[in-house]
Parts: sequence; C-alpha cells; structure tokens
Amino acid sequence: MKLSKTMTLVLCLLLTVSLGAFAAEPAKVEGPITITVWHTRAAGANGDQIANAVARFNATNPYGIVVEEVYQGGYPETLAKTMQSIAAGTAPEIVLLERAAGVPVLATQGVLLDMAPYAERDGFQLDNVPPVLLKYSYYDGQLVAMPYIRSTPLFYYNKQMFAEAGFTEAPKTIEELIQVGRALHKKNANGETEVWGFALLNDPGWFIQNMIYQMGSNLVSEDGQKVICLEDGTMLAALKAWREWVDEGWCWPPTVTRGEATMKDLFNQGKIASYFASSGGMTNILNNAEAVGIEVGVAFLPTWDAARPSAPTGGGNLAIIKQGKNDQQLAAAWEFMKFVMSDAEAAGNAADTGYLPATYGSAQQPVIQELWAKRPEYKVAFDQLEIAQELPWSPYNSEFIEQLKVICSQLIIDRTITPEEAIEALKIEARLIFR
Amino acid sequence: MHSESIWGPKLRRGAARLPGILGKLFVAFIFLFPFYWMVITSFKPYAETIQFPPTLWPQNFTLDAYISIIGKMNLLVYVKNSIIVTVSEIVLQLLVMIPAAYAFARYNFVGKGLMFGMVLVALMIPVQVTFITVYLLMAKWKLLGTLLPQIIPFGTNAFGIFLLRQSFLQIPEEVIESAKLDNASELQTMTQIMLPMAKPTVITICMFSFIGRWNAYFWPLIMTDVERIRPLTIAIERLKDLEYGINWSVLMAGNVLLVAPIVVVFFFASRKIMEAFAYRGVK
Repeated sequence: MKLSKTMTLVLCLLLTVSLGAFAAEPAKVEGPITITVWHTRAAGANGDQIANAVARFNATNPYGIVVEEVYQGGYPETLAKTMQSIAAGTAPEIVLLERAAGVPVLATQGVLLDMAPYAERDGFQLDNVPPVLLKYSYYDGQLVAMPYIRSTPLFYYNKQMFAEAGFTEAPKTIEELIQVGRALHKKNANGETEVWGFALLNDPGWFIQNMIYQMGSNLVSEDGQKVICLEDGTMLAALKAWREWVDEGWCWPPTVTRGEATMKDLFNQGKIASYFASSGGMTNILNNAEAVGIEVGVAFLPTWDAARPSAPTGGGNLAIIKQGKNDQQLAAAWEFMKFVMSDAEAAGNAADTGYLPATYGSAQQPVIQELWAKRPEYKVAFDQLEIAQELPWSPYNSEFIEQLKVICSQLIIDRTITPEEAIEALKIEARLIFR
Repeated sequence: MHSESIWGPKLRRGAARLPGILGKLFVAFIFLFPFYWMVITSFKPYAETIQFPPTLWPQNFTLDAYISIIGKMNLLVYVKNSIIVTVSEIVLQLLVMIPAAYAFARYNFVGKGLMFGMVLVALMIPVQVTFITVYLLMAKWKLLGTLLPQIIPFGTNAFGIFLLRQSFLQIPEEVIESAKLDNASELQTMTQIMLPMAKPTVITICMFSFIGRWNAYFWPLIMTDVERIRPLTIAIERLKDLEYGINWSVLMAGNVLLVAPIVVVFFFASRKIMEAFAYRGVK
C-alpha cells in the first residue's frame, strides 16, 4: 500500500521525535549544589594539589557548585569503600580509581556515567588527550573515566657511579642493561654483594608485562579472554632472565615488604646503581638524592627489542557515579570533570606533583615548559608516552596479576621454584581464573 | 683485716641473681629499643635516617618533622575525635560490663549458660565479618556523619565481661554476707563492695580498651567517609604517600604523637593497679 503524503509526513515526524528522545541533551546545572569527590591523594604535595584545585573551582564556577574532597585511603580502600557506599546510598558523585584495577570493576556493574554526550555537547576535545591514556576510559563504547593522576615507570640511575664505570648514557636495550649491571656489581671479601648494578621490584603487571610486549606478545589476548604469554615462551624468557640476573648477584631482589621504600633508601646510600620506578615519585626521588649528594639520571626503560621499545602506564582515573544520582548532581560532576581536565589545571596538577600532564595542551602551558627547562627529567616521562602501551582490558586481569606477583616472589625472593615451575603454576592459575 | 672473704654468702646470692637480671634487661631492651628508635628517628633529617651504619643518637637534631606535621594537619580535630570516641566507649563498656559480670557471677537464672556462651561467641567474631552490615545499618540510621558508628558497636566488651566475672567470683562470700547484713541494696553491693575489690581488673580492662580503640584503624577507615570525624590513626596514615616515597622522620614523628597518650595512660594505670593491689577488703 502506498503511503499518502500526510502519512509519510506524520511518520517522519514521529521518527524524528522518537530519535530526539533518545538523543536528549544532558542536563545543565540550574542552581547551587554540593557534590563530593573521593580520592587517594594523601598528604604533602599530592593532597594539597587537589585541595587547591577544588578551592579554585568552588571560587570560580558560575553555577554555585561546591565540591568537597575527601581522602579515603589507597586505591584498594577507595574502591572497597565506594562499592560499599553505592550499596548504602551514600556514594560520592566523583571517585578516583586505579585505571585498570578500579574503573573496570565499577564499569562492569553499570554504575558509571557515560560522559560522551556531555563531552559532545560542550565541545570537549578528546583528541587533546594522548590515546594511550584513554585506553581504560572506554567501556562498551561509553566514556566512563578521564585520566587524572597518571604515571609511567622510568629508568633512574646514579650518574656518578655510571661515569666511574665508563658509562655516559643510560642503557637503551636489555643487553646493555645486563652489561651495566655486571660492571657496577661489587662484592666484598666474603663474596657477598655490596653494590647492586640494578634493582627490579616485584611489580610484574608493569615490568614483566612490558617486557613481554617488547618481545611481540602480551599478557592476555586482545579480547581479554586468554593468557597468551604462557604458550609462546615470552613469559618464560622474561622470568628466566630476571632469575638469572638475581642469581648472578647484580640484580637486587626486592624485600618482601616495603620493597620500593627500601630500594630507594639503598639507592641513596650508594648501594644500588639503577632501578625502574614510577615517574610519580620523581619529585621525592630527586629531592632525597640531592640531600645526600647523588646526581640522578632519568631515561626511558631499556627494551628487549630495539625495534619495539615500549613502556606501561599506571595511575588513577576520575569517574562519575550515576547510580542513585539525579540529573543535577551528574551535571555538576561533569562541570568539575571539565575543570580538572582543562589544560591549565592539568598542567598545574602535573607541575606540582610529578604526575604526567594529562593532555597535549597542558604540556604546552608555561608552567610545564618552565618545569621542563629547569628539570628536563620530567619531560622524559611525557616523551615516553609516545611509546606507551596498555594491557588489554579483562575482568580477570586483577586476580591473575595478583597470582603472578605471588609466583614471582617464590621465583625471585624465596628462590624455591624454577622458571619452568613458575610457568606451570601460572598455567594452572590461568585455567582457574580465566573462566 | 676482715675475716670474711669477699666471696662470702652475700656476694654468692647476688651472683646467683645475676643471670635473671641480665635476662630481664635483655627482654626489656628488645621491647624498648623500637620505641627508642622511633623517637630518635623523628628528630633526624631524612639523610641521616637512611645512613648506614645508623646513628644511635641524632647527629643533626631537628624538629622539622614535627613542625611539618603540626603545620600541615589540624591535629587538634583528630585528637579530639580520638579522645571522645575512646572515653565514650570506655564509659559505655563500664556501664554494660559491670552489671553483666555481676549478674553472671552472683545469680542463677534461666538461660544463663546460653547467654554466657553467646558472650564468648561474640569474643570470637572478627570485625571484618560484620563491618558491611553495620555500615549499611549506620547509613540507614543516618549516623554516618557522626562519631557514633565508632562508639556504639564497641559499647560492650565481651572479654571484659568474662574477666570481670572471674574477678567477682573470687570475692569471698563473707564480704557479701556482711554487706547483706548491713542491708545493702544490690546496687550498693555491686558498686561499693565488689567493684573496689575488683579494681585492678577493671583498670586493666579499661587500659586494654583504651589502647585498642586509640589504635583502631580499620573500623574508623570503613565507618568514616568525611574528614571531620576521623581519629588520629587515619590522619597519621595519610602521612605515608606511597607513590611519593616515605619520609621516615615525618612518619616516626606522627607515630610518636600517636603513641604518647598511650604511654601516659599506661604509666598512670600501672601505678593505680599497684595501689589497688594493696587494698585487701577482708577484715
């Protein structure tokens, strides 16, 4: 039956209206409102930065939005408290979560706001954000998080110790790292190590995953459903190498607790010549080393394959909770999110703390340019973003990486198993965890 | 010349006591040295805290750590919260514990065994099992912004009821009989006769309660979503910013501030305990 002209018009109208209903504009803030942000930024420069940012927002936003920021502990505590509070109806509007271990947990439960419509309405430029920092921001096609306090591990080394051994530059490849490590290794009369050339912490989700990526593989498959590095020999190669370095004596095995703090203290005592650590600690590392007269060099992580250099990223993202929140609260939360992600604020955040500038625009801000001119070490972290990589998202990652850590500690700290036994143990864990 | 040789009986007795004394000094050293280390580290600058070999006395004595804590944190709020929570809890516990122990010690009533069994079971349930339910309950009652979630769940002390009951059971019958002969009411018997005789136990229980609640970290962390009701333990934990690296002097200074009230309470309480032991009510 052919449709009459009127019918066609009516149908077209109905279609447009129904489409409009789906593509409704997200609400705008209408009046004064108070919202809360929960975060992990403890005392010192870190906590001060968010307190000052919130004060600035409260003073300058034209809507009368008041943000309250509350410290809730480390990433795991904040995630646990957030889940508990969502159940109790006492959740904040905005929460700072670990990008890989936190955001996906809430995203899969559908409690996070899709910020894409807000970004579109307000012209928020997503290509201003380095793509690698956005990898854990999307879930099911929705924009659920923004990079906030992000970091990447770097190679820190004692310039004087390197120079004394004839090395003027940091090692670029793992082979060069082994040479440096062996050259700087010092033993006393009893054969005990007094100086380690290099130290590697038990953070396999970062360091081992990155090595495997450099070898051409990854921890898990792209769809996050299988562990692929156990079958193709890359995990075995990485674990074997690490264990060899420790057995040879020049690679410092981490202590069971307080590994990072102990390692940095030993570095400041001149007992460790180099290590991998987060760029987030750069300010303290540089300041503490200066206090004891050590000149610190900062470089990219050395790579297994010169054709495939890479580095992991870490840190926290901000997400907006939509469960139990009304339009006004969500709109106000978005205004704060926009503020924090503006170039000026992102630049100040990075300059005050040592975290990465989260946007390309923020890297151009005077405060960052001046910082980089004065202390080029900070620029190394940002430059490394160009070769940064991310682990594919998987609901099983957290658990598997926890088990990987335990098995690595048996391999490297206790030294009660061999690399081959470690692989077998990991295969069992993978079978149990990746259902 | 003295006829007694220097290796006389007195010296032999003293020498026999020597190993015991040395043993006690050794144990005391093991327990006291960490506190000593904590205090001197709080007065050292960072560079000296990581020096090897370590210095047993601050070479560059500095108050910087304390200044940075007191300057950065509004410690008074946290101290006030800790004190209110701890004192309220002790008062509440005494109000519940003393009559409960008295009842369990002095009376036989229906369900006594069962109730005492429940008290023992309560002793064994860890807070990690109950905290989510309690949090949801406190949220429903709209108490989350107050200090009450830190006080109410600890309003009784199962361990205290148990200990005090034992203590009451040991009071001789004659004392209670003579009180009855003087027409003392139950309340008077409980508070004026039995309580003074169980003073050492009560003081010990209060001291343990104080230390436990003053040091509590997990429960306040879970129950407090806002800064203004948090106790001192949470504030001190915030000094340790992991991604940043640990400044030992600041951390130790924070812990000295946290531990100082407990040390004070302990000295005060131990003196009272010794005084109380001197009291023997039976004439």
